[in-house]
Amino acid sequence: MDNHKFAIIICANDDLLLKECRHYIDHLVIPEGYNTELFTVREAASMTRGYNEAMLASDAKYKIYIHQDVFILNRYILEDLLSVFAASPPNRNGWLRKCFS
Amino acid sequence: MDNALKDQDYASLFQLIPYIEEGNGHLAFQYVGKTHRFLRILYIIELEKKYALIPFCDNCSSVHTLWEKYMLTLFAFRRLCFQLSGQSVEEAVSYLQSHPVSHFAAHIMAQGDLIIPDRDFYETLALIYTQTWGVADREQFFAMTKPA
Repeated sequence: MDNHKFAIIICANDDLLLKECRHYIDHLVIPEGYNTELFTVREAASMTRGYNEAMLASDAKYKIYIHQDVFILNRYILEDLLSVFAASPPNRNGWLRKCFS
Repeated sequence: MDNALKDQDYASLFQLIPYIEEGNGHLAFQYVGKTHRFLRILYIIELEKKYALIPFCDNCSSVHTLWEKYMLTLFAFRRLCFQLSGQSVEEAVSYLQSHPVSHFAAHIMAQGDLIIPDRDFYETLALIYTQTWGVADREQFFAMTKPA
């Protein structure tokens, strides 16, 4: 597992939307020492199956699952996510509390 | 819709409005998001024809090209709002100037797609379309976009 990698996994069936989605991803600020990889899942039998296949294909510690019509506005979201995980204990409830606080 | 666009048959095109609003197409309107946008496009074209402006569907001979134009214009509007980078904004401006839309289209799209624009956005659009919109068009645009 690569602890300094984000995998962004996009389920897509529309090139127009996918291109714009990637435009926003390309503008993300990548935290120092980290890298990202992008997976585009196409023609999956279902969205969940598509996401699962990509999940297994990546060794990234952090995996972000989005649909093609999601445009990430916060350019610092990767840093924000790292802050959330660092500040909260490694359990689901702590993470959820932080996300919604 | 494909045939109406190909033949520039606006009468047939406008028949789709009551079809979607109240007829058999209403079910699609209730459950399919894309239908909302198509209805919006029809409203835009209807207004443009009424005011003798170049319709939004100009140079669109199919539903596919019309949809593409709407979405690319919307993406460009969003890039103006969110200003990810200088290049992102430049590409948006370039697209909008190459594919001009009416002030009706700009207003209806911004409102309907919940871009939640501020005054700067509207003024930027008016600046982009300085060569395309007439004085009366600009005045009407700012009147429509004036906060309540």
